[in-house]
Amino acid sequence: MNINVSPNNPIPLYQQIADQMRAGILRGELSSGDPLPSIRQLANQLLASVITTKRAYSELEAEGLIITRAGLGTFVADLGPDAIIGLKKEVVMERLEEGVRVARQLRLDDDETTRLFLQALDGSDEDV
Amino acid sequence: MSDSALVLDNVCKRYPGFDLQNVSFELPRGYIMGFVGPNGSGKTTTIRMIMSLARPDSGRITVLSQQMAENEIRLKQRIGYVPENHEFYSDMTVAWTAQFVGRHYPTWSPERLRELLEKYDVNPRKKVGALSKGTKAKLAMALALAHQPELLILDEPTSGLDPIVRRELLSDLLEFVADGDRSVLFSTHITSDLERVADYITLIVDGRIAASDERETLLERARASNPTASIEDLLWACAKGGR
Repeated sequence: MNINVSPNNPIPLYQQIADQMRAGILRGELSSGDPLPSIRQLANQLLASVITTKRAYSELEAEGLIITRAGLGTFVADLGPDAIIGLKKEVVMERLEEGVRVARQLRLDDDETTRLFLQALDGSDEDV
Repeated sequence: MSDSALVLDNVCKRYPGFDLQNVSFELPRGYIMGFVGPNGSGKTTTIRMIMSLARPDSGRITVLSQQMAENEIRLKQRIGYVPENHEFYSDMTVAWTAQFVGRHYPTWSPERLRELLEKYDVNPRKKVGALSKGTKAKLAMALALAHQPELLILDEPTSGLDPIVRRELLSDLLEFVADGDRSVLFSTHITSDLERVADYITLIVDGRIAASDERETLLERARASNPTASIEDLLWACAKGGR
């Protein structure tokens, strides 16, 4: 899969790598058991440091998305369709919670936030 | 300690009007360290001491697990060194220069050099004086790599190079450490080079080490107060805080 990272992006490099690989796995572009490049290969390919790449892998490993088998390499974990759906929901929920947090911080009432959410789903952002 | 490519322990050096004070840092094997600081902060002096081109007044320098002072020649054969100003004989050809340099290294590989010159597009029959600045930098890099060193020490390797050549060089550094055993120390004031490839960063300001740690750790600490902090911001904060 294709990963693009930029040091100009305020999101830390390791996060950019982890986010894109996670998305690739959840969308099914990478499937269970697929071998992943070694940390040093990927670092070289992305022009990113070894420790940065290592950190992206440990993050995905902690989330259970990839596994490292000593001496064999790193692979996409064995995830059933239910687990994939669960993980997708988790990722989206995290973002939604962030939105709710901002809304409450700005003292927007929940009805208004719900309307905004439906509007976001529609893709119409007039009158926000 | 045996896992370190380079350890500086309380290195001090006094010059009239400038001194390096208790310079300590450690580069583990298999990684790239960026050595950053403003002009005149002591980067080149430190590198010259690592290469035993200047003697510290006190402190210890351990290179590839050995004392530089006791094993100078043998250790230097295991280091690829690219000084800030490439000193070549401008009337001599690339091929002659390579042969001249190669004589000093038992591990010199003419095949490896040929590969590198081809990859970098350096014509061996050209006189060194006729090469562009970027090509000269590539030649210096090829000469440093052709004896298959375990540690690369580069003093401002990217300064004055265009972005394409710079990226190629950074990618070569990553390729160099890809075996997990070879290491790189490079000094620079172009902090964007470090944002990609440096695993460790050592900041030097006014002859003192302001910080030395994993890059991600340094950035994370800085981002606690400024969520978009870059290495340049860190350097700025250290330079201003120290004065």
